[in-house]
Amino acid sequence: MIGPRISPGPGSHSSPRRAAGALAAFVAVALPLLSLAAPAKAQVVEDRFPGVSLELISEGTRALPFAIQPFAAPPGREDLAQRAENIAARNLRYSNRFQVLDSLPSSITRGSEVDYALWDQVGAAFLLTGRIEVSGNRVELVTEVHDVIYRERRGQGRFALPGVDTPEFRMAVHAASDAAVEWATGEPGMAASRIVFSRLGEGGNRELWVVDSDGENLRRLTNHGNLALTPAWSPDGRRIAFTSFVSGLPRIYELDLATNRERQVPAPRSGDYITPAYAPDGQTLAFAITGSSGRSGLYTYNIGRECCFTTLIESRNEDLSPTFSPDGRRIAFMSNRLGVGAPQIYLMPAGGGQAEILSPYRFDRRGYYSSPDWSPRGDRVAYYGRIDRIGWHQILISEVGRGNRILQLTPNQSGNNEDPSWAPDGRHLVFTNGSGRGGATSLRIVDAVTGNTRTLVSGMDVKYPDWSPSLARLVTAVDDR
Amino acid sequence: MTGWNRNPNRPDRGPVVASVTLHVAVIVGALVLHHLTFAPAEFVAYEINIVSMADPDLPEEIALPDPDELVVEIPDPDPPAPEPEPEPAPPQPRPDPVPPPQPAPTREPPPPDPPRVDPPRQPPPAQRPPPSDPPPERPETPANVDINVRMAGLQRDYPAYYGRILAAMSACWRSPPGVEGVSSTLRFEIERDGTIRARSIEPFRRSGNGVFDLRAVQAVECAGENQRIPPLPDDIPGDRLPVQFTFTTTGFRE
Amino acid sequence: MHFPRLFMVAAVISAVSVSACRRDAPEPPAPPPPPPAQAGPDMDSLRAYQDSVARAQEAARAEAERQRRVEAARATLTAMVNFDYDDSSIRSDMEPILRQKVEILRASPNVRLRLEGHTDERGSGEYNLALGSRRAQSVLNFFRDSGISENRFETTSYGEERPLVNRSDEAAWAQNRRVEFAIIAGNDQINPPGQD
Repeated sequence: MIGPRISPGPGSHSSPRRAAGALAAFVAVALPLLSLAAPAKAQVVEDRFPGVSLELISEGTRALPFAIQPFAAPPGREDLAQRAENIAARNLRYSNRFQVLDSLPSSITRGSEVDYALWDQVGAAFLLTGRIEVSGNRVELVTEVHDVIYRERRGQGRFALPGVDTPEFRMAVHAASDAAVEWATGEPGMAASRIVFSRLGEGGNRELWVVDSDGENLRRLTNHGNLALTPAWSPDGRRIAFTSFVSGLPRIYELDLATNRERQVPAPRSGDYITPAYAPDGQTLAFAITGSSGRSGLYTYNIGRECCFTTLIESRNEDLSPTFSPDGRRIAFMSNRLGVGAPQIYLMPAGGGQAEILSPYRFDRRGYYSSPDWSPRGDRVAYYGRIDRIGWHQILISEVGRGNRILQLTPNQSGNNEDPSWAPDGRHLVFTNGSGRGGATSLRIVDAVTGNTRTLVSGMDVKYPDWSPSLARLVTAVDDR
Repeated sequence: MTGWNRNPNRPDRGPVVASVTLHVAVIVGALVLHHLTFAPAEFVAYEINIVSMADPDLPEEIALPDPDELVVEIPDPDPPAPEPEPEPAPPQPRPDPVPPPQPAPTREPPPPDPPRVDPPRQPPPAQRPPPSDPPPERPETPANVDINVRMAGLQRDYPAYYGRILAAMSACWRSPPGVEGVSSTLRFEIERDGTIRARSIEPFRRSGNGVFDLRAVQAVECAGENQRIPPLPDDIPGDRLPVQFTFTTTGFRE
Repeated sequence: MHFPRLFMVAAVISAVSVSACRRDAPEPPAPPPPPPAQAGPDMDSLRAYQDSVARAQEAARAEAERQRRVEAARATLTAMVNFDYDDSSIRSDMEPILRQKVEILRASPNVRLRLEGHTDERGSGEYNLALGSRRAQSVLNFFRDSGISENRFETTSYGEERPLVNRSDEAAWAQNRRVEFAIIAGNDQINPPGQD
């Protein structure tokens, strides 16, 4: 897989970080080294320097070794501890941030005191400990993360554990895992989250289904007996907006997950109401109306106050699939304004206004880009498409403000990869994968940093996945720290 | 199908080249500075580059009409091509080299190969094993699999020893969240016994990010503790080894 | 919109034919003749009876013929219209059937239609919803430009979600790229266009 890197001659690059031309000679010395697949070489440089100069370059792909000390439990509850530990271990692996050690020194047992020297010896940088505490009916999981190298505790949390066979049990452990990720790295995790998607069922109908981030706990949400499409989570994780044909015409509905009640966004004018998305305020829904007497566009409606249709943009073109930046100030969307058959991704102010193109449009290439999703980190927009008129669809990322540079996350030969949606950690994406013939047949997850990919669900016709925000706050965390 | 065109002038190389350039600049700067402030050493400087081969063999490489316009970065297949067949098998995230074999609680010196580098990446710089490298006291930190290493040394190289310094720094380095594409350079001295005196640590070139610079100092302090760095090899002259160390965190896929 | 003049002429002609059609709108079927009061060799009454039977048969035949023409009109009205790949413009080979629909719609002022756009499975699902809308709009525009009030239509799109043929080949795709016509009002008031 890995081959020598072909080095261009010095001078063929125009990196902003490039140093002055006076150093070209040194670059010339260094470049041959880059192109060697062989072990690194020492190279004599005619210079004098009383010491050694070293550099540590860490990429985002750096995966620090993480050990898990077997969780402690009161007598008779070891199975509970084991189950929580297994879920947490898998979550830490799925985070792609750590190298989880899975062979432990034999002297380590359930509930040993933390022995930094020993864990250091084993090669761990971080250590997760956990213990089950039971008092009366209350069962809690107490976790700690230790920095083995610095020999200090980085965080501690206490999580209420519901019945062991309930989805909430897993979600509580997911929340504990995300806390561990955050204590160790300062960055958010994504274990405590779910993915909603549209699944083909009987009679060609589609219903919304939901699955946990680790692929467990798959279940159906809607029962419309028609087409339920393009679901979108509310920012608080308690509601899902989507398009349904249940009334005969496509209209937007909001499902309250706690009460299982639905309400419809009113449709004051004709047309198809599709592709809803929540603004960060959780009240404003943006969506597209197409086919309304030749006028199409993007509109908002305040579903919290049940009022106020606003037109963001309206024309004879189709503008679809809005997605808000996390600060709520901008919207990315797709539009065919540059030509039918060549939809592109655009950015514009959240209140409407001048739109600028984000996808790498080229007049003669007929690139085809669809389904943008703005990263929760705010600096990137994921979408999918193809650069030429033919070819598979691939998952792509553009950095906002650097649209000419796109990152392709899926390999060329992997079929059609579509409908990306960011995880709450801002580095994983869920997307559909299929042959391009008929519907996609699996949901996959890719880590945009390492490129690691796993399958979330497979063997069903799936579309339009949307990754929830962190649901950790919906778990009854007893206290923090 | 052959839809994807790539820019032959791939920019993902740019940062590396830039980084090399920058690094060389730092070295040169250091050389000049040291020349002025330190007693001239009778060393010959070496530069050792251990740079991961970040770039894959790409299945398709097609000329683009106007390469300067569009740049597509195809994923590092270094992480495995997504498995063609969905397998819900238990997760085994890929950059997960087999964990260290059942480490016995007793310290046993493993082969002294310097910093572990991701298997498909560049092997360690054990090109010229120095004769007098002391037997390691602790196992190599299996820590970081994905670190690019660059060394510039003097007199003669002690790649294994430098590897130990890097491994210690790597284990101690805690990159602050969300900070990308910055570098912080420090100078310090390693005592004969492998410790680092706090007062020898001085920032040389700050990153501009206070937290990042602080973490760099903390990493150096941490590396000097708990015998993380072994004593200097006997044939390194002088009482202590001056080190100039740069912590660099790359940006988005750079 | 391509042939405005042509349409104007067509409109005049069809207006005439519509009014003609109305003038001799089919009369209600004749009531069945009363059975002969008495069985006798009354030639007059026998002839009258035979006449009435013939009239009734004639009326029934006319009614059957009318029904047949209504059914044909309904079939014409709901016949699908197909499109080229990723295109929403009316293909020239689809214009004749659309013109026939226009004639029927003129003759049947109480009929309302829902125009349902569909696409093949290729391309983005969201984009295909919009493409289906656009196809339905194209048909709507054709009708409007032919002088039919657009209030008699509603449009929607199923995108790629309701394929007619569940296969993945060119032939299936060609059939799946279509607008369907659902009669949402006046289903029992379809009048065949007037005869010329």
